[in-house]
Amino acid sequence: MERQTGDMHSEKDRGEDLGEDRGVGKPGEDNGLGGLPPLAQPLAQVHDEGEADVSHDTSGQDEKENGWAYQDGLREDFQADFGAGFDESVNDPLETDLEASLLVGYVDGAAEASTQRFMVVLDEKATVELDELLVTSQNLPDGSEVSHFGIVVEVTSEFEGAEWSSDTVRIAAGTQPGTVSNRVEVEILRTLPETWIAPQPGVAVRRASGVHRRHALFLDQMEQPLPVGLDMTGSPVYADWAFINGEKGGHVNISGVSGVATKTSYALFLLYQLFETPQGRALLGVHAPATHALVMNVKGQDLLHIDRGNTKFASNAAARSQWAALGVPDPGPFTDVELYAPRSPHSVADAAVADVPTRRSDEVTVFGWSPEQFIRQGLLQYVFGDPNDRNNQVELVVQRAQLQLARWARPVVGKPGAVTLIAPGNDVPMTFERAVRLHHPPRLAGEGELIENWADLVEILSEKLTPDSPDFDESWVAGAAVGTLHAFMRRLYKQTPRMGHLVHTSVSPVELRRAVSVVDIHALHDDGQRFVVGALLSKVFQDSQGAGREPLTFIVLDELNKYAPRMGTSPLKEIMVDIAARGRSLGVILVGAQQSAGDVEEAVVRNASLRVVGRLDAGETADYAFLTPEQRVRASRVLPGTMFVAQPVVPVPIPCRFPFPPYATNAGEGAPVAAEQEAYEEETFDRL
Amino acid sequence: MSIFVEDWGAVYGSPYQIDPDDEVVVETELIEDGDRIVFHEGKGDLRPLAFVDGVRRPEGVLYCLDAATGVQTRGIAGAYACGAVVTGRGRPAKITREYIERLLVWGGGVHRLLPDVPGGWHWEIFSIQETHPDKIGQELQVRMRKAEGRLADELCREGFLTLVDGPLTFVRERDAAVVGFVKTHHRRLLDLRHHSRLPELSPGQRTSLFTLGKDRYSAYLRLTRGAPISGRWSGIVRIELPQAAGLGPAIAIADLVTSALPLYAGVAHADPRAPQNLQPVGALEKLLRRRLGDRSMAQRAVRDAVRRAIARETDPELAAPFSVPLSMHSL
Repeated sequence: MERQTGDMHSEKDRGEDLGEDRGVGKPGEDNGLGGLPPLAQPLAQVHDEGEADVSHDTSGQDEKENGWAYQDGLREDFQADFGAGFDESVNDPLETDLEASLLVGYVDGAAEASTQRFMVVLDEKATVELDELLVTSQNLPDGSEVSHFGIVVEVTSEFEGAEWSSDTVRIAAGTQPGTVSNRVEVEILRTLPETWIAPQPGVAVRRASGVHRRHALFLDQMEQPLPVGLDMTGSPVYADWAFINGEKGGHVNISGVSGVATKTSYALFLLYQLFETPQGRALLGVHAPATHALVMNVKGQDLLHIDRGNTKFASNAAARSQWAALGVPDPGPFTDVELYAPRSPHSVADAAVADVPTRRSDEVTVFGWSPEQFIRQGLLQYVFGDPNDRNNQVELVVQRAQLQLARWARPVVGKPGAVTLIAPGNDVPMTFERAVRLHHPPRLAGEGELIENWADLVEILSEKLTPDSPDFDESWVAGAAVGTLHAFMRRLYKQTPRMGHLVHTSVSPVELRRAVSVVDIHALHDDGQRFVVGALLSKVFQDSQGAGREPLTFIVLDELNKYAPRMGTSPLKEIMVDIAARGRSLGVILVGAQQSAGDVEEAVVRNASLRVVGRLDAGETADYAFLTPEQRVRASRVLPGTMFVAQPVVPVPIPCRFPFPPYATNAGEGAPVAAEQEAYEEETFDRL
Repeated sequence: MSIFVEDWGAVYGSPYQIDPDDEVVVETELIEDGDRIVFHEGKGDLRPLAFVDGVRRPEGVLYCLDAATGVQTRGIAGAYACGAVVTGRGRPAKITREYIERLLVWGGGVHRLLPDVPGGWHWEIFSIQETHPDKIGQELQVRMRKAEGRLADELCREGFLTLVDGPLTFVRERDAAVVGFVKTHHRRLLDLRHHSRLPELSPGQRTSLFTLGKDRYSAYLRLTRGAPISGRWSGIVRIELPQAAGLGPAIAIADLVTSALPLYAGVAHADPRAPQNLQPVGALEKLLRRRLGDRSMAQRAVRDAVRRAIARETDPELAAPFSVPLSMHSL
């Protein structure tokens, strides 16, 4: 302290000056101002006459002989005033003192401190950046101590003493005195013990490290911390697992503009922590082997390579140490992945070929629904998923058609997945849920009308629902008007090229057999994507009913605005809202993402405990009230990879980064083993 | 007939108060260039400079009534602060060695203590025999000047070329590099023929040194050229140097100061006493005034102290040290 504020005197000498200037001192009490640079220097120690003569003589001589030379007194003075740079030979013992090295400044008494925010006047030797965690402790009159922990939200600097802009030039030129005043604004994260008072002006402010950092980030309150990123200093930041796994809260919501590809990357980063690290497996506990993630790949073929190492990872020196900081010394690709791709619309009649040029055909499972699954799972409603194309009358027809299909469908001998429609007896119930509960013995194909694919289905529905068709059946139309029936058929025909190829006896359903199942829907039309998402989510949600919270099922889904838009309604949106509201208690955890939270149904966003915000469009920031005003502004210009992580226990979102992935996030990064590469090239060649 | 306007703000009066009819009353003698007045350009390498200045403020007038004699004596409570700006070529100018003293000066030899007030209010007690309010007020000024002088001595000994605001009256370090800097011209010091030539000084020029009494040299110098509307004496100041160091060193220092000071000249839009009030001094005064504390808090503290003094005589319990100012209880 002595050197930093060399022209100051000790508090004992002139404590009253301090109080006088700041209006806080109370004589005879320890007011917690220890270490505050006092404001005045008494002359008492300056005019010691005995010394005066000696130094005077020296000064005179030096001046005459050497022109101008700095004498001791002057040297000290400049040292005190111009900082350590003036003399590098001084070895300050305080530098090694931990407390001193953590000291950054003092609570600013010229600005109002509150229970929410305060300003810190920085010591001239301290450099403090945005997002750093600070701590300040004060003694209360009853002798107890209160600590405030906070995060730096703004940093300012100015010439104290400059009143006119032109003063700056004079101060810089050295003709007018002025000192650089560096200040930081701190948003309080926590007060410990919870005492709602403001930090006391003048008390020392230190960097929060060690146990202080743990307190600042509420780590002591988290029984099961999950790393959610690295703060700006490279230390891990944690979220409370109990708020993700559904125990106290659940779901993750990620916002960010597209193109910087951080949303899905961040979701995968979280999945990687859980599925591929010992710490993550420990959080999942005994249910780890039965825990699954369903990842929807909505853009490019990016996620179809996460089972391969990332060739660029090795050259990224920082990445390895960042993973190490997260407790993952040797990260690699996802180890237990199944890739699903839709049946190509160009597949020949009975074949099922995936449309994924970047992977070998045996690496990808072609997914779809057999007519039997389509009918028994009641998926017809998800065919009409566009919330902007809703019609209540048509909806009734959909419900009735769905019910009748379920009542009429019978398995077919020798044709798994196909159904044949046979008029049911009166004993088959008239509600969908009851009808599908019945299991019928297989029938011969010729006994009824055979459905092996989407075209068969459409044809039969057309016959049953067209009034002038010979097979028109009143019981399939629920008294709907002719116009309504036409509207239904029109919509059905429209969807045929969009998702019809997904319904076929040759395809297998998506089953969560591996830890991570990636389902590629990027090439599908929006309506096709909505159908797949609706069908899969309804299955996952149905399967989880009554099964308890664990094992968990994670659903990673980007472009939530497409599936649960704020405006309009659809069966898919209803499922999404249901998952958001009840999913956490059923163990279905939605890791959702979207460009702008404002476009997504409020309930879906609001129910997420962990809210992550990357780069935002400047116009959208108003939707993110949980960010500080400064963070809202910063969010429009943060670099890719910087995310603000908000969670229930920590009142201010913590800016984080997450490390470069060790798994490939596009075909170019993929590292095939030599044999694999050869086989792939051979196969490609054969295709030609 | 031409008219001009004074550069200084009107509330600060005029830095040129010499009446044409004034006679030279102080003993002066041109010494550097014989009986001639020569204009010398400033020269010499800039070396570390220290500017010393102080501010003072009366904060309350007190009366002490002797019940036995019926004699009422005045006292003035107030505070002064002094400090220095150190600067050098290429280095930032820094304020340093700030010193603040709060005091109560009694007239008529009274020595009556004033109790401390929470918040750090404490008064050193001084006493003078005079009773006139002006004389009591002047004591505050004298004590400030003495503190400035001590600080100047100290900085001189440390090797700074030290400029003191005002004449060298209170500086004891007479053979060191100390310079008095006089902004206001109260009386004529040279023969009229020499005096009338002074406005011809160019910026960065000084006159020949002349003796001032038996212990000082002095010279006029011009800081800046005034605007066409400014008076002829605009920007002309006077410096004082101790004779003890000898004429040679005094000339060297005068040259140096003459070349250095125009750099530091006050800026008109920022200081109503520009250019004579130098930039470092203007900033120092501003800071020292702030260091004196809030004016109304100081006045309240004086009232509290007196209230405490009275309470101590009448009700000892009231006089116990409170953790908040007494005024808060009694108001």
